Amino acid sequence: MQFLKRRLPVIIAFCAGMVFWVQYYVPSQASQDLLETFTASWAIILFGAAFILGVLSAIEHHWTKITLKKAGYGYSLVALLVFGTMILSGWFPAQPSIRLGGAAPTLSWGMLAATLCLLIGIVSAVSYLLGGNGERRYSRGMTALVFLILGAVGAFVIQPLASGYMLLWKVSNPAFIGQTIKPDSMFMWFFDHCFVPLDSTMFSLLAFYIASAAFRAFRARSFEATALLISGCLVMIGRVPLGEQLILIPKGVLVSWYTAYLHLVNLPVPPDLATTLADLNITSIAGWILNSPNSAAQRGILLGVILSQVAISLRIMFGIERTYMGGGE
Amino acid sequence: MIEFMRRFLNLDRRIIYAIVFFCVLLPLIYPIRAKFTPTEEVKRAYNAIEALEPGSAIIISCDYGPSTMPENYTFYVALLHQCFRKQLRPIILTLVDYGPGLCLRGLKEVLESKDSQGKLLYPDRQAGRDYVFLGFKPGSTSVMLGIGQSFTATFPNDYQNQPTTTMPIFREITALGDCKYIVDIAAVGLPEFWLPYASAREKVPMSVNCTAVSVAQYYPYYTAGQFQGLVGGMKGSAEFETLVGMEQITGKIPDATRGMPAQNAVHIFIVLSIILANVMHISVRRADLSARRAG
Repeated sequence: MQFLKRRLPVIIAFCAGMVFWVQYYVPSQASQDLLETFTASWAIILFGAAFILGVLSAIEHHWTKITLKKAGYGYSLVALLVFGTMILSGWFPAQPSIRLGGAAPTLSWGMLAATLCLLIGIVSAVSYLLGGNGERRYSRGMTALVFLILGAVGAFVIQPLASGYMLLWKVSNPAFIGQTIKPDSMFMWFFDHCFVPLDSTMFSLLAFYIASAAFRAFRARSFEATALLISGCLVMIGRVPLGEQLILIPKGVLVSWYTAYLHLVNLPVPPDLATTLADLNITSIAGWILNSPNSAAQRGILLGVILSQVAISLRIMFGIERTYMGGGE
Repeated sequence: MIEFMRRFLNLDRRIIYAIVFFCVLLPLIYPIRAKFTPTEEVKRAYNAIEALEPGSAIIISCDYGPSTMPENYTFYVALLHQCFRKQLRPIILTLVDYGPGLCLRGLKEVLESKDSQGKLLYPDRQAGRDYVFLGFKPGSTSVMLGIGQSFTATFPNDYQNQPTTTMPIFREITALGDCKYIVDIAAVGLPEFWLPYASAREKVPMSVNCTAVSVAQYYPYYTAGQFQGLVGGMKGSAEFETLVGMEQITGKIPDATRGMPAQNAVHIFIVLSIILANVMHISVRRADLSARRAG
């Protein structure tokens, strides 16, 4: 058991790390084939499996919270309901005959009811399988049974059998594997009318918090803070149209200064000087800040990050770093 | 006066929220045309795509979600217009799980867009021949390396579940190396992966559209020439819309351009509030210091 838990992961990490490190430097066809096999199948399957693990982990987390009635378990209930609704809604096709409101292109009330029944049934079934005390467990089992039957029957009765879009038909049909979401499906309706506005709203709230935080916390308390404050304000103004209108030194003045300087040091004045120079405005200063000091600082940070990534990779390959295996070590 | 400043510094945050709200709302209700000229970073991205031969394949990776739609989606729509107008063949994919919905929406919007006389702008564009939407696949770097070897092996079916092996587009374009350009539209850190795993590896030039928050982190790549163009934030998208000529194409003010006055107003308010708060903070601090010295 110790071998499977501790040694095998380290051996796999070492072998995989070494193989793909060496592979990078070997330009042969066999080496390219190995990479292709890995990238086109293994790695994508592994990432797909990680998604399933993530989903199961999220369900378990929320379900535990609900069953133990921890603080805020109502949110977990909503999360599970919405989660299930989105998954199931992706399976249902458009229903041209019945419409839900003007905005919804083709959403079936019947299929929505069937979805909810199935959803409640699945949640109850998971609850039944996870166990619990006798009477409550029995009632969960019964709820699961009733709602699953209702959902399945609803899907059959409401949709015409000939349409070939039955949930059960789809599940049992090999063509269903890899089926994708249709633009006018219920899933897309939920995506466009629920997910998009909610996600946009959450992100938009940042503007309010940033404005309040900037007013309260952005203070010139030291030289570094002052430099950050000035450059921040310049970039903020430089990144909006106003920055272009705020001209600090007009082009004509710049041309005359530069011409005077060239005369002073006895250098010829380029004929296209007037076309190469532009007004010095806040946008050009913001551009300089981003292109020069910012780039230099970002490069330094980037090099540090890359070097530490190399160090971490080596530590994982040689089994020094084992936190990815869990267990608190 | 100092007391007023002290009280002002402890201003109720709801007042600030209200001002921000009106700064966004008023320019949208009473639109004022904001004047701007495209910056060099955006012009380079536009010119690089404009210089491609008709029929060239271009990878568009839509790695963003609804939260950054004003910055990324507007660019995506303008880019698709440029591609279809130039008769380029976009190969669209997404490496984030919430991406397909927006890819599909943008593609539908552009394909259904009409000119001022009500005629479809791109009536003869066919999926699988003139463009393809491959959908989402997990494992970002693996997907990049995978399409470097073969599109059809990595994506056996497109988003509409059509087999890619039978598509005319993939008869000529077998792998990433056959494409002429990569554009990553990202709200996440994926451009940093597209560069080594796709662009540098297959020697395909690339440009990036990112959020205003993350644009600073990509400047080292831009100044080094690794990203040919860098379209940052909603202003970058508005500049790109201007270069593509979205207003002339669709006959209405494009979304990012429409949002510029609101962004202008909010940025001005934030900068003014920072300056005002600092002036008051320094005045209050000086007053406190002199009061302490005096007594």
